[in-house]
Amino acid sequence: MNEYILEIKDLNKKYDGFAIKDLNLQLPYGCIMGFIGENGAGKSTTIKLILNLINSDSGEITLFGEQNFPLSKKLKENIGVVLDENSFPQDLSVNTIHKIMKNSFKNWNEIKFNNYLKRFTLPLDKKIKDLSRGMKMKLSLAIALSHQAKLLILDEATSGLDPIIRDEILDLFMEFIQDESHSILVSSHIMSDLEKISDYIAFIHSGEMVFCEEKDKLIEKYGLLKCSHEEFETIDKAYVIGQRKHSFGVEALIKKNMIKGNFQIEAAGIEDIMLYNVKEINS
Amino acid sequence: MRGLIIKDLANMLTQKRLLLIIGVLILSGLLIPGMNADFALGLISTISIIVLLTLFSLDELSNWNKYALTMGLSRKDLVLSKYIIAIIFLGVTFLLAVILGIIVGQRSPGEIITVAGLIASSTAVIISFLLPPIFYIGVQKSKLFIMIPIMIMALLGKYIPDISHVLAYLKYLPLLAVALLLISIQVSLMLIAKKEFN
Repeated sequence: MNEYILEIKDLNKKYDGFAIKDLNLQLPYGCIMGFIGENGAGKSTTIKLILNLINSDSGEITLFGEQNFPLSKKLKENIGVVLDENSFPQDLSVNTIHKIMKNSFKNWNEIKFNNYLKRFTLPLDKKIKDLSRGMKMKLSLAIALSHQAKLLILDEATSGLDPIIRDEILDLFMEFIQDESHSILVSSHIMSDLEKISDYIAFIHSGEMVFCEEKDKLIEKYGLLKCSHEEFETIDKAYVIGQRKHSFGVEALIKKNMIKGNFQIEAAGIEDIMLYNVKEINS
Repeated sequence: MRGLIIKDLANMLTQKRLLLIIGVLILSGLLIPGMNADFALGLISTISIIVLLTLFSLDELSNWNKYALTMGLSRKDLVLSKYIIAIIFLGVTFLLAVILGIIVGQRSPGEIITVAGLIASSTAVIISFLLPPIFYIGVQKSKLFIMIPIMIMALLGKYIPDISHVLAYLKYLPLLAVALLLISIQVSLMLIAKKEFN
């Protein structure tokens, strides 16, 4: 078995005014990878490239050790996808969607799907257009989890949902990942969610991968320094990733093991790491 | 692919208002004084195309194709399922034309079959021109392509002095329709292979 469930090597895709540049990413089996970046950074484009919805200019994507071009039906059966938009025909009922899925996936598990419907209290007779965004998202997830998929790919699946529904969904992810042959790639703007569940964080900015690392290592590596302007002047700037100066002092993201001295260094969250990296790149 | 056909048929049944208008129009051809059965027969072809376009529009509105391609379905499935639906529509068009012909009772059984065959064949010709661009650029931008077969017919009428010569070849229209449909499927498969689903 290949070491990675998903591997991207030197991926390039050029549009007018935007490009994915030499993107590399490796998602091992049994892991959740949070895919982060600001709007327009290239997260959705990367996901579309993985799913072969758009064609790359160069580079290689392998899923379960097989190239994704063309993405075979067999490979697709192994991937559960939840996109940021709801793509079901609006006038059809949940029951009709079930019939469509049953006739579209070879490995469709009707019992599993019905169990998810019960768990999410999704009514079979309700039309898609009458479901709330949260309900639609739950339906998408129920489908993604009911055809024996081994890899879940979710593009902004939890955005716009209330914390209770998000928490339910995160629980589902944790259940899914109990099987070590399963993995999840989840893009989201909600860093607190990713911080809770991710093993790896991949951070993309302007189409380029800034880092793709284990979350624990990132949190270990970076710290949030809070000090006065005078104290900040004494620090080696080579270890400062980004900074924010205000009238009463400086807050900076630093490589904390490299900073010597008695400073107030707090744990940096994924959001801090992303924000200060973007600040630094933009400056 | 069966799932896609189920989806299209279910989508069609949700268009109750459209189906009601179709029924009213066909009946008006038969019942309203001044209208005639030929008017209703002409309508059947137009209506088949409108219903087919509506199915494409519904897919486009919900961005269905992009999602469908993440399921256990291929681009080929997307194309073939729509042509199967189109062929089902052509069959229904033929049957309706036969039923209407029988109800009106002005023609012999042979004439009824011929007229129904010509209506279904001309519908197939229009669909053949219409579907490839729809797969590539979407239904909204493709409506102009419906003009191609109509313009060809208009030009034939204008530049061929003795139209009766052409009419003699009408019996070959079903064959032409089948050939065009097969070419249309190949072109659609070629175009969808290149399409990017953003």
